[in-house]
Amino acid sequence: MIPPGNMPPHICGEMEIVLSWVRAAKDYLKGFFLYGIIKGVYEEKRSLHNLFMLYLFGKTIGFPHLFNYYHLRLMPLYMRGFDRWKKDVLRERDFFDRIN
Amino acid sequence: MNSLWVLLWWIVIVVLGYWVYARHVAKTVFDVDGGRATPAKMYMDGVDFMPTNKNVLYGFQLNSIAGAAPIIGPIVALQWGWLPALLWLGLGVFFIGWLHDFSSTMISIRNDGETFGAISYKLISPRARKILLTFVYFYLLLIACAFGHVVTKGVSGDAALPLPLLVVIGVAFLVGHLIYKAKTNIIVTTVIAIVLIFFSIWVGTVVKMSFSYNTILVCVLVFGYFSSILPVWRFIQPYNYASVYVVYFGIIAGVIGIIIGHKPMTLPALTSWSIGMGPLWPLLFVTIACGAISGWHSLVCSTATSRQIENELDVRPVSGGAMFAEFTISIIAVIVCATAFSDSAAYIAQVKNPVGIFVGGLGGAITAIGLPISYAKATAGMMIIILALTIVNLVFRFMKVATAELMGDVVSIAKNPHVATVVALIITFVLVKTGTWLYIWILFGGANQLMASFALLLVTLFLVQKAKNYKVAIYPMFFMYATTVCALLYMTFFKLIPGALAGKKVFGNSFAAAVALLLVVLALILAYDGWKAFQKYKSGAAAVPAEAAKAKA
Repeated sequence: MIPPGNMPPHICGEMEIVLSWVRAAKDYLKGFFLYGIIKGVYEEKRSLHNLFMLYLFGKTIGFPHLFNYYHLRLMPLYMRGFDRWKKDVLRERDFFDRIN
Repeated sequence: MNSLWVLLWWIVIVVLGYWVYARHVAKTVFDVDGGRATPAKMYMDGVDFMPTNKNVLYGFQLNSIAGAAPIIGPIVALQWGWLPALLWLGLGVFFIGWLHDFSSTMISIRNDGETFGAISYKLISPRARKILLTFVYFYLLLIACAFGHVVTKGVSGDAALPLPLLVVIGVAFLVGHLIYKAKTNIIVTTVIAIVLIFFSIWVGTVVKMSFSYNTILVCVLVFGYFSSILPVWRFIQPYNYASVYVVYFGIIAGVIGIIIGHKPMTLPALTSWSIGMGPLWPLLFVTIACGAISGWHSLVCSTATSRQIENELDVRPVSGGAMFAEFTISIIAVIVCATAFSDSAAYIAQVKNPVGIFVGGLGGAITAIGLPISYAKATAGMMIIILALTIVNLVFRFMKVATAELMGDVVSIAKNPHVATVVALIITFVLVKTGTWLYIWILFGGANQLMASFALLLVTLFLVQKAKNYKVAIYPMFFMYATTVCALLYMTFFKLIPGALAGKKVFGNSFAAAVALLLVVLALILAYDGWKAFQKYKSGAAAVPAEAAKAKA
């Protein structure tokens, strides 16, 4: 078998084209069959994350769920992402957002 | 005429439409720019806004938009002959369909991934969002009735289908549990699901179960209730995942069967301008919805797709390409049904049960790959039932949300998901039982195409605002608007009201007529607001409508 590095250029080029089509077909099948489930998993992850963040920062909006000790230990770890999370939660959503 | 000549028509439309016309419009009118940042890249929250590979997104888009409508619509429209159906499918998707999907995605991308509700608020008027929401609610109701009947009639009319359908539902719960709770390997789960489903289809052909229409209808509504109430991961999502393999197998086997069999088209090319259901214009153009153009796609494109496009150059293959793929499914449906009958009388006798027609046609085609006829027919039946049931599931879920959105502030109990779902189910039950399905299908098509004309209105206003060539959108918009409003008015004044006055299905026809008239009134109000906005942008006035600016202040 000829090592890939020693193959004539026109065969390498054709193999690349075939491989790119195979990759495209794999991606298409992933999108058609699996992407819905992947998105569902991400959405579940987001809702759990939202719950956790509300629990963690509940004190700032008048819902002191967490004991002060844990609140102070965990807060520095999540402060960096707080603004972004807040923007995401407070982003205006309407009925048409649910058609997804 | 041999059915393989239809493939030539398909090739011409796809090649010229996608590679020539679509490319030209994308470049010259919408000025797509691969270097411009899309909302997916700007916001990147990892869930809604997530840059996704175009091939993955194409598969997802096709899965989202392809339903039973591109199959059922052409089946019903063959009453006018296969020639008008093929012409509308081809020319409709060429000039309007792909443009509608493509431009819906583009205007959402150019407006930071906003939905049509927000865009209509900005571009047309603040009340446009409320009108659109009300319109969508009744549109969803018509979808539920149209497809609810298809499922009920199909399952009650074929004793081989109830058992595999029950198994598919059970497998859906199992798959949901295995994937999300037991964390089982996805490939193992998939293999288990596929084996169980395809085995149950065979068992269904041996152990036949017959149920009455009313029993199946109640089961469909109970099914709809659980689809609406249960978390998505528990039922709807695994159901969509597990059942789509049947659909894919049906399509591939059908295409192979058509090519191998290459039967002649036995139904007439053209029967008559005016048939029992009504005249060719405007009714053909609303009977065939998906496959040529469908308003539902604008909702999918402007919410899900636009937020995942990583590059504007991907919009044409993803949105436009998926529409051409759905056109392909409709072409398959036309060929399958036009070659299935010995004469048109046999077809007309079954036209009220499109599932039966499709089962006969595709089942016959699938036998070309060596499957026994009973198994082939059961597979074809399951394919279309699954597609229709998927839509019914989602529709009740959306109706629950729409009820809360529309009436939640006035009637607080409307926010209760159980109450909202039960109200939707009751209305659906009443309309399915008392209405005439063919008329409801046309009303559904009319509402669907009217939704498409609203989307094209938004596109037109967007292009006018940006001083681009809006003619590519405005002419299709006028055509769709005029056709659909005329279709709804024709059905109301020539079929539904006379039917009710003659004592036939009085309540169902009256209710359907009321819904149709309401949709027309909402369309006229939106057209008026759209016209005012158009005049404003055309004269080069402020970029943001004055009412929206005042409302914001």
